[in-house]
Order: sequence, then structure tokens, then C-alpha cells
Amino acid sequence: MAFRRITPSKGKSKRSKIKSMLIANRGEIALRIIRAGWELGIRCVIASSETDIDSLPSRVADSVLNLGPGSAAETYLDIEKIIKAAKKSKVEAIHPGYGFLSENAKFAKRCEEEGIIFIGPYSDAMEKLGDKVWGRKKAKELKIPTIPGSKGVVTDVNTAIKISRKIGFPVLIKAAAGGGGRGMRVVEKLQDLKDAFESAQSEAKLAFGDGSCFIERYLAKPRHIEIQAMRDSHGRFIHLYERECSIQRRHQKLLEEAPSLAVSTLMRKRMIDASKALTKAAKYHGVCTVEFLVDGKNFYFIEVNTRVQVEHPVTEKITGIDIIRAGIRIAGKERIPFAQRQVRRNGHAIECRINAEDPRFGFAPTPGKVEELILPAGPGIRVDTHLCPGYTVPSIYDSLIAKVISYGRTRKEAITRMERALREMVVRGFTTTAPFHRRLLAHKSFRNGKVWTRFVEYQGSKLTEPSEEENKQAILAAAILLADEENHPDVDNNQAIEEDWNSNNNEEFEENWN
Amino acid sequence: MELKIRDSKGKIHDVQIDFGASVAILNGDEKIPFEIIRREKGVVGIIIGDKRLPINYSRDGIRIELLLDGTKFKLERETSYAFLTRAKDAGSSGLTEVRSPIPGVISSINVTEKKKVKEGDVLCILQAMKMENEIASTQKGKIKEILVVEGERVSSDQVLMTIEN
Repeated sequence: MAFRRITPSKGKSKRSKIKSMLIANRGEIALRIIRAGWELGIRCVIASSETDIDSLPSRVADSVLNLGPGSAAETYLDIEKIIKAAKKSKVEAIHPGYGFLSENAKFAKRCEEEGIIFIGPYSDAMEKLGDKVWGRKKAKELKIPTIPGSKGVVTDVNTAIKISRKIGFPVLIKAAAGGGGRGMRVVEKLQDLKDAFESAQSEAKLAFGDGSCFIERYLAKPRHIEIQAMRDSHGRFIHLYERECSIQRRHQKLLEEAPSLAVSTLMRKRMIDASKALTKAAKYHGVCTVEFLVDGKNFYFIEVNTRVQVEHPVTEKITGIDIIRAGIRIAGKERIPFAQRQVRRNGHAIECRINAEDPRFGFAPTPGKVEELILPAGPGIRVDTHLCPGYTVPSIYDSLIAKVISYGRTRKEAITRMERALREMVVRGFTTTAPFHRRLLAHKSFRNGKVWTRFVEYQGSKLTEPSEEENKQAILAAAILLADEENHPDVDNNQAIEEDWNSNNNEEFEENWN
Repeated sequence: MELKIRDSKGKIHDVQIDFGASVAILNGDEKIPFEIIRREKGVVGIIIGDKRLPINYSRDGIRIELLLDGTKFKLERETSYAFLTRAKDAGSSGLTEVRSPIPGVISSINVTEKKKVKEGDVLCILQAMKMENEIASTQKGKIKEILVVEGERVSSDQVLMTIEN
């Protein structure tokens, strides 16, 4: 849309240079890529696992190649299988979507070797930006702030004291070999450091057999804020403003919005300058997201995602620019045909990720069959989903089933529209995160924009447990249905329950995408 | 018709149901009209008050599992038999079952049989969707029997181990 609207076509072809592509992905993003591809006149071939062969993207694509049965590792993650599929279908390009092979530099390299356009950066740029050590080093060179901390592992108390003094309290001590919160200590003041360091060390030693620790500045209530950017192969950098993604649980985003309430004009400018410098340093081309943690007036660079993000629609809503189409055209070595000043930001957008999960049980996955589906629509609502009635959400993939995106002239209007959309929405067949989002949208702190990355954890059952009213409805429903069965033992109400609804078919979802 | 429903927290609620008038009364409150919506495939919805809610349910004896508007509820009909069985479990045998709250894989078992545990001790780690969930003891006692092994896939509500008071 943006490419056409901003530059009148001047008689030139509106079609992209790339004429055919293989989509090496599944679910809603595969469908989103097909939509962008068709709008650009591209023949879209999808590489689909046997499990996904009846899914919406596989049904609508121009053609479908079966990758066979098996796990993600045997299908969407199998580099040679994907390359073979691309050659067989004679496509010029491969779109990796997000997750799976999208940030696999080896795969990008294989595409380059085979003369297939990888829709994304070149493998060497991806390798650099995918490497956190390179990123941190480069950021330091470019004077981009990173979270202050020890350069390497710390093994004795005296060094720990020296470093903590330098970076300032509170500090976080974490086990180098760590994970799962073990060997982690937050230290508020110098006097507590010695004890905390020693106990963290012994705990780490006990849990991981290695007592060495890292020390870094502890951010009590950081926000996760990211800059959406794109850079073409001719060196033009364009940013599409920021997104606020602080609503997450265990590093998985649940709700994203744009713009952020916490970003001042100055901070935004500094984050954009940082993004520009980093992508230039890596000779990046394609769309990307530069992620930061924001703590008060300070921001710290974390990493660059060298691919399209799940939450890209909120940015599309406020800028009117089709990010997927932009990525494809940039991969075809086209120039971004507009200047930064032509990119306008308007209104506010929110995305709620509807996952097949049960928030009451730690967001455990709940795959199952869609018995009934009503998708919201109407003014200001966009839904990106691969769901259709009768579709079974497989247990072996990601639990994301739909993204509901709302747009309003103000944040308040966007929230109101989202609340209205979630009232409309019905997915019957398994638990979803929709009730969680309804509670979140009504929460005062969320409405005031007072959120941080551990907000969901901090609120706990307030966001995950049903309300008094819902509990009441459940008790009544249970009583009515039980009494009804007793009254009419001949009516078999249970036949509505498909075998797989209640079965133990609960293999883990394999891919966790941010 | 009158019946008692036990919620997941163990609280018991009295419900009176009048099928003739299609009204239900919860804990002596006001009359709430209801209607069960059936299609050829069975019950698809329920109207409670003036709200139509999408519903799925499965019943196993006195236990009922509801999927009401995207949220799962596990409830139980309270019968005198159920009450007596529970009382017996708690009183005479002194055995508590540790059940899996969600489906997943047992990634580690942190106790051995005959080991003494106190409230809050982590008994095992249950991994679901790349997340580690600690299963902690809700009481003091001694591990009587461990019924799973590391790496075992378990379903929701499966008994993982038993604890003796």
C-alpha cells in the first residue's frame, strides 16, 4: 500500500522484481506472506508438513509441496528439504517468516550458494547481528548504551564488590551456567553484597557444578521497547517508530502496542540513531527490529531480530506501510521509494495474541479442535489467523492461533475497540488467552500504561483467574448440565466432545516465538 | 431439584434447579433463568441469566469439566458418598496424592521414596512447553510411593506420588 501510495507509479510496474517464492513457514504468518505475495503479483508456493497440509495457508497457496510427516526438525527446520523444495518448485526466493529457519545464518548461506534469494539479510550480516557478543561489542564502539555489567565471569567477592561499585546498585548476580532463577540474587546495597554473592555462588555450584557468576545492573521495572526498521541494499535506512512489548510472561510477548507511552521524542530519536548505526555496521538489508530495555529515562540495547516479527501489524496500522511487502521488495534489491519524512505515524494500535493455552495453569498449551469460531470484525479491527471451523490446532507447533489487532485515533479508542472485539470473539473447543486479555485490558495499571516486563507475573492470579461472575456462571452451568443428564439419561450430550478434545494428546509445542 | 457443587478450591455451593420454570438459584440468591442450547452434535451453548455462553463439557461420574467461554473449570458434584470417601482418605489412611496440575513431561524428580518432606519442598519438575514448573508439597510427611520416572509424559490430574502423614 505504502509503496504505491507514496510514490505514484509513473507508469512503472507495480509488481515486485521477485516473481515467485517458497514460503518455508506455517500458520498465520504463512497466510500473511501469501497475502503480501499476491498483492505483489508473486506466485506463492508453500512448503507444508503433512500435519499442516489441510491448514488454511496450504489450501490457498498457488501450490503446495509436502515436506512429509514428522516434527518441526524433520520438516520446517530441515534446511536441505526446504532447499530441495525450492528447486523443485522453481522459485526465485524463499520467505522464512519468523521462528524456524528465519534467523539461521547457515540456511541463508545455503540459499546464497544455490542462487535462491533469501528474503532477509545476507548470511554474514545475520551472523553478526545474531551474535550477542558481536552486538554488545559493536554497541559499545558506537556508544550505544548496554546494560552495565561484568565483562566476564566473577569468581571472588572482592572483584564482585569492585564491579558492583562501578555499575551501581541494585545489581543482579546470576549464575554463569544458570537458568530457572537458581543462583540469582538481587542486591540492593553494598553491605548485603558479600553474603548474597557467596550464597549465589554456592547455590550455583550445587545446581550446576559451577560457581562462577555474572554481575549486572538490576533493572527493577524495565519495559521492552523495540524499533521497527528497514534498510535497503543501497543503504537507505527507514524507521517505523517503536512498539511497546512489555506485556509478556517468561519472555514471550502477549500484547504489543504502538506507540509506547514511555518513550519521549528525545529517547525515540536516540534509539532510532542507535538502530541506524547498528544496521549500517552490519551492512544489513531487509526489515528488522532493534530491541531495547527501557528503565526510566535510560535505555539499553539488547539485540537485533533479523526478521519480521509477530507483532509487525501494530506498526502497519499506525504507519500504513506493509512491512511484509517491504521485506520482499528489499530482498529483490529494490530501493525503498520514499524518504523518512514521508513516513507518518497516526493513532494507536494494539495486538492481542490469542494462544491455545490455559493461563490458569502457567499458560500450558491446550491443542484441540475448533468446534465453533466467530472472528471479530468491524471498524478498526484486523485479525490475522489461520483458524477455520473444524481445524485442529496441532500439538507439535507454536500455540499462537490468532492475532487480534485494533486501531483507534487514541490509545483509549484502541483499547475500547479491542475490548469490543474480544467480546465478539468465540473459539469453542479449547482454552485460549482471550479471557486473560479481557482482564488485562480492564486492569487499571494497564490502562494507565504502568507496565513492565514482569507485570503479568507480578499481577499473578488477578490476570489469570476467572472473576467471581465467571465462577458463578461455571457453578450454575455445571449444576444445570449434571441435573439435566440425570433428568434425561437417554440424551447423550457428550457426543459433542470429540475424542481429541479431552485426550492426553499434549505434546509440547516446539517453537516459542517472540 | 437440588444439588451441591464443589469448586476447585473445595468450596461447596447449593444449587436449586427448576426445569419447569427454567430457573436456577445459587446459594439462596435470586432466581436466574437458564436454557441449554442443543444442536445435532449435542450441547453447544448455555444461557445463564441473559448471557449466551459457548460451552463444551465432559463428565466422568461426579466430576465435570467445563470449557466455558474459553476458560476451563473443573467441578464436582458433592454427594454423601464423595464426602465420606474424602473424609476416609484424609483421616484413616493418611495418604495424600500429588497430582499433576497440567500435562507435561517430568524433567526431574527431587525426592526419593521414604524421604521426609515439609510443606513447600519441591518434589519434582514438570516441563510443559519449554517451561519448568515446580511441583511442591502441600504438606508435611514422608514420600510413600513415586509413581513416575524422569522423562515420563504425564497427563493432567495424573497421580505422580503419594505422601504419608
